[in-house]
Amino acid sequence: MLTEIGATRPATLRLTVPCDLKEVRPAAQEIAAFLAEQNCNHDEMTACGLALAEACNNAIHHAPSDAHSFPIRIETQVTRDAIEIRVTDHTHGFDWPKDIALPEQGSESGRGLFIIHSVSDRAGYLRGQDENILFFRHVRTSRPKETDLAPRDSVTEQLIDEVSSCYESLAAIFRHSAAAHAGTQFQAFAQQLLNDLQRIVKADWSVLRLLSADAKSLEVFANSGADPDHPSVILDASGVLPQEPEAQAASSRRPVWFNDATSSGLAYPIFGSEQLAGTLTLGRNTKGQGTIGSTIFNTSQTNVISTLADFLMIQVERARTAEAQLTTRATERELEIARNIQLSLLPQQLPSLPGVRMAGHCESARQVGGDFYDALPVGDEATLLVIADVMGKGMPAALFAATLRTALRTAPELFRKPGQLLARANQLLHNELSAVDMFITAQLALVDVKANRVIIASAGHGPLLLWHGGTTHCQALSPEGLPLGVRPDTSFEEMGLALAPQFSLMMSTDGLGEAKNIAGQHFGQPALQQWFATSARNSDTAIAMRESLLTELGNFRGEAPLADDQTFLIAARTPE
Amino acid sequence: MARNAAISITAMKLEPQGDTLRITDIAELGAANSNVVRDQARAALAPGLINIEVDLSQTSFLDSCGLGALIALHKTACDRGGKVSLLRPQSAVERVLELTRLHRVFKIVKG
Repeated sequence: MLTEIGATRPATLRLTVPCDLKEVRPAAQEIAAFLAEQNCNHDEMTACGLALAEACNNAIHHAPSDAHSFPIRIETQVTRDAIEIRVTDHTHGFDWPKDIALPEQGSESGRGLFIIHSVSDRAGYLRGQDENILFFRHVRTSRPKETDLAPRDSVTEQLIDEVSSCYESLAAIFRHSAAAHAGTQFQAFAQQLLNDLQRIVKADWSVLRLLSADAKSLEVFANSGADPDHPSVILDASGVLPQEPEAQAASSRRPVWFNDATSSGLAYPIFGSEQLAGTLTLGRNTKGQGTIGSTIFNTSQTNVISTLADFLMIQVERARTAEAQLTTRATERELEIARNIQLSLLPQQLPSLPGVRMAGHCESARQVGGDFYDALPVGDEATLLVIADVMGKGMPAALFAATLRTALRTAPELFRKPGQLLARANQLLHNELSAVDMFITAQLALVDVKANRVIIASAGHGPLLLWHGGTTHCQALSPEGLPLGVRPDTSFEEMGLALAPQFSLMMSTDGLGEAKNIAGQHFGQPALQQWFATSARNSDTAIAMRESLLTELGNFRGEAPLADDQTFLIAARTPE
Repeated sequence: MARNAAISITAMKLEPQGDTLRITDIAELGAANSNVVRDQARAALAPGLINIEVDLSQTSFLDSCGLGALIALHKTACDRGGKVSLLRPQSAVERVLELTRLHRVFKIVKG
């Protein structure tokens, strides 16, 4: 029984032996010397040496040709009561026979397992995925007195044991760090880590559970060598002591040892930033011949489990952060595409209109909106100016802006009737816009220098500013009309005005008037109109006015970030 | 104990004595050298040699592969109408023979 042992720490010798028959006896002799140091008697050494030779011969004889580069691992543990030796092979494995019988007398082979079985008190074979362990155990008849164990030696043994375990966990961490940085999927990574951990601490199975989003249960994330149908563990907040070791570990925030009908092991809570992140459970099968350990896990193995659990926790955090970053990156990518769409909507070159200069500006806030302006030539002496603001942000806004631009551009027969053009655009876009609760404000202005007239139509857009030469004030013109997408059949007022020989007009989105300074104050429509009247009087060209407005807005905003898209289009005629 | 025992297959001596091939100075008879022992013994088995005596007094270790070699030689000897005798086995080796019931097959000659 497991608990009989462990009164003293086991002395352990780990050897790796090349997969070569000639290497077996020297290794056996090294182990014999180790057993002698542990005060094992001659019979014990002979029996173990023979069983070991048979186990190793077996591992070498049956290793597939591609496994000959893998060494055989031999672990020898000696306690006061027993000697246990485990030989790890890389063969395809075999089924340990239920009854081990001798072959017929004339057979030249087939006695190895019989010999192991005969000279050991217990023996068995554990089959793994890539490796198997043949173990045998020999109960000591030569129990040394307590005083035989020199304290110095036992301390040395412990240290060697510790160092050896530390080395194994460090090696695993390095290997897994490399894997984690290679962009391996986290689940596959966790799975691999479990496999390794299981091997290092000689567990039969392991399960990693992570806390669910609602923090009410521990969901299986990865498991190894275990029953694939591991259930989730429900965390009960009622204060009743939970049955499952994982739930106990989660509520007590301490490792919990368990020992039930089929297996025994350790449930280890994992924390990320002080919060419970999940549990790591490792166990050994204790029914049948599954038990290979002298205790469930010794101190070194427990240390390995806690080290790798902590490492795993860091990786859990890392994976979650990476996921969040991925989402952010995706959003940023979407915004970038939306921004590119928005930029592509702007005319590369504004059309020339006799005597009239034009200048436009469109600046996106971080959250891209659906602002755009356009200028479409109508014959040689007129231009249709367009400005629009799709209410909404990001990709949908950019797509609706693109659709509106196309809807307007593809109806040149209505360029001289901006009210009707808006009505047509509204009919085309209404269903799509209302389906997603979006709308568009837009403003059209047909500037006809031959007729010296401007015809304005607006779909719920802010006022168009018009200044006439020789005056000190500007007009703010807002013809009637609902935004596009509000009602299926909307009519739009067309407002016609005569143009003076010298004039400036400006169309803008409300981002201009709503520009905020660092104190949170709006630039405001009155300030905009005042700037416009002054600038129109003092500037020679539309381009000069644009630069003046940008300076003005920049000065007002100061360090404050751009809160909304700022888009405007200026057309000005100055006397020759 | 066997820790410093030389593991040598070349130390083995084979010498005919009448109708018997005597094999001596085998330090160990295991997986590493069992095939060599078997093959060298068969090669040394000149016509007229029908019996094989294996001196196990110097043999500290015998495993299932070594047993396999002894059985192979036993068959060869039987084919010639002879037999295999195992001389003065050490206790550990004798125990393996008894364990596998092969002490009934071979003639074991004690000290």
